[in-house]
Amino acid sequence: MSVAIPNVPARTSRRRGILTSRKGRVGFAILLALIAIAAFAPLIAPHDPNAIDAARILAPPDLAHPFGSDALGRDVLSRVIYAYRVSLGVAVGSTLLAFLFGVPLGLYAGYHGGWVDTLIMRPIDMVLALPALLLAVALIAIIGPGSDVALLAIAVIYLPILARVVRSSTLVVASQTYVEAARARGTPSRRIITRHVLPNAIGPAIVQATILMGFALQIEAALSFLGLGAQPPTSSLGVMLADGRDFLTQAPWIEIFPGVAIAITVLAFNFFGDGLRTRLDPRGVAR
Amino acid sequence: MNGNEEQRAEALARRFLGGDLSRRSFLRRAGGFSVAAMSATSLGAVLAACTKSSGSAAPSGGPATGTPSAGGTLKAALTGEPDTIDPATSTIYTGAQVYDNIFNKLIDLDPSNTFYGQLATAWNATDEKTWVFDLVDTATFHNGEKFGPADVVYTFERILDPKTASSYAPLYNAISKVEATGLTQVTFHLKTPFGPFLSNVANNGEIVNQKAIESKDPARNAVGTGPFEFVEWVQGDHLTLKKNDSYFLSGKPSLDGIEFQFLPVNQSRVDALRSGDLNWSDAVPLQQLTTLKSDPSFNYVTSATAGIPDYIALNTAKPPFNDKLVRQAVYWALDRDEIRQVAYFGAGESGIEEVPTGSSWYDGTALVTPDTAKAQQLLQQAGITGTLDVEYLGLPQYPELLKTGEVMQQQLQAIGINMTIKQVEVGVWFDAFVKGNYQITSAYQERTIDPDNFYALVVHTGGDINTTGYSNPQADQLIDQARTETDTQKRFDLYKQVRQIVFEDSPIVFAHYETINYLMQKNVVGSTVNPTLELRMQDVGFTTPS
Repeated sequence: MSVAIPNVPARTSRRRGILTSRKGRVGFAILLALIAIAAFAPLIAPHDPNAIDAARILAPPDLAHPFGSDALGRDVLSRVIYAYRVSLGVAVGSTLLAFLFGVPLGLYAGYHGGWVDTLIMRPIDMVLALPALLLAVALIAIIGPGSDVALLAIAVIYLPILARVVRSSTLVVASQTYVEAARARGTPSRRIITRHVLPNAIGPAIVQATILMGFALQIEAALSFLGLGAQPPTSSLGVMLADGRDFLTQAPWIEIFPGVAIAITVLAFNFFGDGLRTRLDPRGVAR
Repeated sequence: MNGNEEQRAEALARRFLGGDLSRRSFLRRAGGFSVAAMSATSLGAVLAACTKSSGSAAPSGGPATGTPSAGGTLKAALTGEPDTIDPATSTIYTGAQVYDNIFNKLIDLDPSNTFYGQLATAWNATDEKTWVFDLVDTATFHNGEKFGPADVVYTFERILDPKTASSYAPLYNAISKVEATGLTQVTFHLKTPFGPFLSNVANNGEIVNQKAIESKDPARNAVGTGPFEFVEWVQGDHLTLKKNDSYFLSGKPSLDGIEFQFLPVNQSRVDALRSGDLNWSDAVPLQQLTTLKSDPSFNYVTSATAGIPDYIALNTAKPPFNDKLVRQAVYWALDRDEIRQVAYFGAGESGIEEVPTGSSWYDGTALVTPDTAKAQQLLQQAGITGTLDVEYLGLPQYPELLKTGEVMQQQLQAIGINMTIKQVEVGVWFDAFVKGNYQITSAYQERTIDPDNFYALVVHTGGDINTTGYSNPQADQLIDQARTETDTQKRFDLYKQVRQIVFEDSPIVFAHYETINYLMQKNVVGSTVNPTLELRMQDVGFTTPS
């Protein structure tokens, strides 16, 4: 007996998980690999990343040193691997920090509105008005350079962005009938926020955060390039770029490999973010 | 702080930070006022004018030989733009590179460290405090004024006049009076016998003409007696000089003119030289030195008689380097040869003394062989068990200095000193350096012709650039004695003793000596690196005019 089963496109659209999006899958896979590299750096790196070798100054790639050596004779491959730890750490750490503080602020501002909204959002708007990199440089000038300070500075830049995103989605969710119903029932507002508003409003912020992680890597690279991030001999991808720029014509490998590493990572974050959006973005649901 | 001090402060800041334009755009000469008086405004003004790049020294290089034929305009690249072209007020190296071709000094040092006359034909000390200079009587200024003793008197009075705010005034503080004692003779009367007198007269003191200075802004219009006349200065682009047809030395200069371009980026100088857009360039990038100096399309010139001593400054006023034993441990742990190989791509000379090996003041001190065991033993004697944590203040503007820090970090690790590097931007570094808010850092002192230019400033108690807080009455006494001694051999021996005390006490540890280098097209000849760093284009020319 054969029953015609209609081809239901809704089936795939219902399974909107990130793994169904090809981009999301690729992004996720690369990120897993990169996180593994960062986590197991000491096991993977073939050499001590900080060992100076006068005999290998600007030495080109060979079997023992597949990425070549830098101006101090250090192994570029090992340095890229260790640099990942710093760069990824700063990128993920700063975004998480901004997320932890930005989301509650946006949530309360959006839910309560009125003077609470003004009190929270006006200073945040002021921070938003400042150019991101300038703000980071200013913060570092005040506190002093270092990866941890760079992490903090990027978190400060990101907090307003995430707070804004959460506030907007909270405004939408807070006017939904089920929220009104909960309110009418006399549910305490803290419970409404955590049980009803937060789960429904946080999607866009998560997507935004993933994308921001990719950009955080670029900001960290820029700060390190300016000498404001990781301090020598610790390398981050930005420090490596800064170190390599004087040797571009003679020893391009110093510049190329960290550059490629940044590109791959940012791309992976963006793919992953796109995948997440398909899953979480309200516009994705409507489609 | 009054206006003049403010200006001097700014001048001094430029001297440190001028290096920002390039590793070699350091201020040319010694200034002599308290760096502690540096104000935030003057520092800020200077910082705003700073851009960034690097470049510098080299090892051996043959002279560019050949006979120049007359004619041709030389396109020459400097590492940055001059601040002014007034010899009394310009404070950066690139300014001097330009104006030394427009003016003449009384005397200068030739590449073999011998004094020779420019506007002076003879010079004698009639007693310990009186110097008599006989002058040429055929020289005329570019404005037609005839050169005479009155110009010499005016020049030095102008430099010493507080209103001029010249950072070179301290070089001539010993002068009590300059007077014309004949139609072609001037006499310098000194307050005390002064050993470095001739060196300092060769160091600066380009002769200017009162009428010219007072008729047009001297900062932008230079009128001298030199081989070239000023034509135009297009800010941010180029500065042009043309041949002085009535130059008092017949047959010179060979060139019809010079066009100076300002190219702070190392690679652009090399590229422009290769493409033929330039004929001559200052400061070969160190990492390309090995290939460029043997490149058959270029002439490469360097010298062991001129450059910059780079040293490690140890703050003797703060733990742990207030303990002489810990400083000595650093002295014995440093592998200066490795620093040269790694941080300077093998260029320059390993750090031994404040002067290069080709200087007549170099006393032949052997390169220190690093001794890890001895260094560890010294640390033990100092009562240090386990690792010692210290913080090195890094200056990213000067890649070679920062790399020296990284190499040193590894070398000190071997004796149990855990040195962390903290990079700060140049203004923060400068502030910490002059106020003594650091433990250990790298610093440099612009070219030292006479050892007095170094020890009186950097090592003497309360010296203007004594930022280590070091004070040793015995060293002070020797430095003072060498300053007022006029017998060269006695001075040589005194400085030898000063160095022994500095090695023993190690408030500073010489890490490297950066030499100077020029690169030019094969058909450019006659360029030499001179001990006073004077860029002497009067001898330069093309073998085949282009």
